[in-house]
Amino acid sequence: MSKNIKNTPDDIVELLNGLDELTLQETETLLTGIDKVTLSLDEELLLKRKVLEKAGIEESEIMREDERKEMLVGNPTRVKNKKHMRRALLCIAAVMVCSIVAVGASHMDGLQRFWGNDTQIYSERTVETIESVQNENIKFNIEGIVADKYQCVFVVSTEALTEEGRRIINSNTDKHYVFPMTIKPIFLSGDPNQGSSGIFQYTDDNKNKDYKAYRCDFELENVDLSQPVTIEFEGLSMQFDIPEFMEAITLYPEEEAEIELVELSSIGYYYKVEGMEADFAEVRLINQDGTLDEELGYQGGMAQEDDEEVMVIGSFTELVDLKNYSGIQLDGVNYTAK
Amino acid sequence: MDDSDEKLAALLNRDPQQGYAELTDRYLGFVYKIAYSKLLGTCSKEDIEEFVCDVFYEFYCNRYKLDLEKGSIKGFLAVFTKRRAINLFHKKTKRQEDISLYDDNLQNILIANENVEQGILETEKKEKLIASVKALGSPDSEILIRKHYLGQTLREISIDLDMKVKTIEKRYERALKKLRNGMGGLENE
Repeated sequence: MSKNIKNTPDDIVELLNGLDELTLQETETLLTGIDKVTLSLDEELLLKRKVLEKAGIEESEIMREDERKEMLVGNPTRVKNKKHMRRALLCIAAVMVCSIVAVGASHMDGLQRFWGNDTQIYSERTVETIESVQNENIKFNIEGIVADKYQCVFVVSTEALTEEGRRIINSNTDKHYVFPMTIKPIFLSGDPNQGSSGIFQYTDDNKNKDYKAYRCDFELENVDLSQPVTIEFEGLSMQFDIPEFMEAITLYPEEEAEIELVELSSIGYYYKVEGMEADFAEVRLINQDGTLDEELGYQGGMAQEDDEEVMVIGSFTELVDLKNYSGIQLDGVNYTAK
Repeated sequence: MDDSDEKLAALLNRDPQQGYAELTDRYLGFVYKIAYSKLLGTCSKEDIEEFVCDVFYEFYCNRYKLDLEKGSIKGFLAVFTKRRAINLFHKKTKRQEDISLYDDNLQNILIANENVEQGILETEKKEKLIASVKALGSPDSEILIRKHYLGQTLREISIDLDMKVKTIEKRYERALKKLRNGMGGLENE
């Protein structure tokens, strides 16, 4: 219950606890007309997978063709989430924004493996392998990092150099969430073992047994950005500095509006509103030609509350290339860079 | 009997895997929120998730026992989850026999409300409480039910009802006060 509700009659609440003791018929009466209980998308995905696995069912066997397509393209339906900073994950679509560097033919192979056959639109904006380490059996790469003040998304890949390497990169992997790799940021309190260790999800391009790529979503709450983040896998480790990859644009309203400014990154959008009047705005990115985007999903609008301000933290269902957009529209008001 | 329940039951028979997935799609939120609200203080999140899996799996394994003449799938899952969660909660503090769908008599037990620790309310009071809640009308009654039966937060309720959180909060406060007046001191009986 919100802390802002005053003078809640405790006796009536106690009485309502009696609803725990209902028979089947009484429950039927009570729940008549209540047909939908929404969970956050990450809760739903995780739970559904577990429930299906309990019966020995692979979720991919159940997914209908239209659902597969919807997950790849993105769903424009907004999903409102709870307080804490989480990102809902869908199957990765082949959109990735990174620093732009021309690459040689050998790396185009790596690019192609990551994105499958669809490399045409990305040929001018290719992913640079930021760092690589290897031993005799495997090669471990960081392929692209995107960050803003709240979240960091990056891709890691593992390549098998030997038969043993193939066994290593294919073992202990779960194509949805679990992955034998650790992210070790340094947190502000100095304790290396607190907070989020990231959420991994494999990319579509994992048919090749010698190569696997994973997308990781990683929260920056309480992370000491002055310290490098370490990623470890099978005795190999790499480090990177998040600030080097932070990019966000501040946008301002083109007319008078309650929301003073919006920060936009490739990952999502962020704005503040005052008090408990906060609600999730209707959000659409504005294409360069002035039209509103209707293909992307705007998912996981989240808010952190204090007594005075609410920070709304929204996520796109795919990473976006900011070059494709001129701004963002919130509740009909356009926000662009001044 | 709800048509959609008939269709779901038929699907569970015809294509159990697809039926199980459909069952999960429809009622995962219900089952999870009921379990979570009862068990949060005594079980870890992973244990609660495992609990939810067990509920669905037991239903799946015993789906042929379900008699839709006696109740809907939603009602059955809700009361089974609630009862089992309460029992698990009590098991954490004292010994308590658990209930199971493998018990052929379970549906009758749930209908008759047997094997439950002495409840907070007697039958007559429960009926009056339910009637009073329902008499508040929509959306106030739904807000109370979602809050106190399903265990949803007001923000979650605002999402499902597609209303502003502030509106939900005000309606909730008002509903509690109206209910208190409508119950006329029942809480003191």
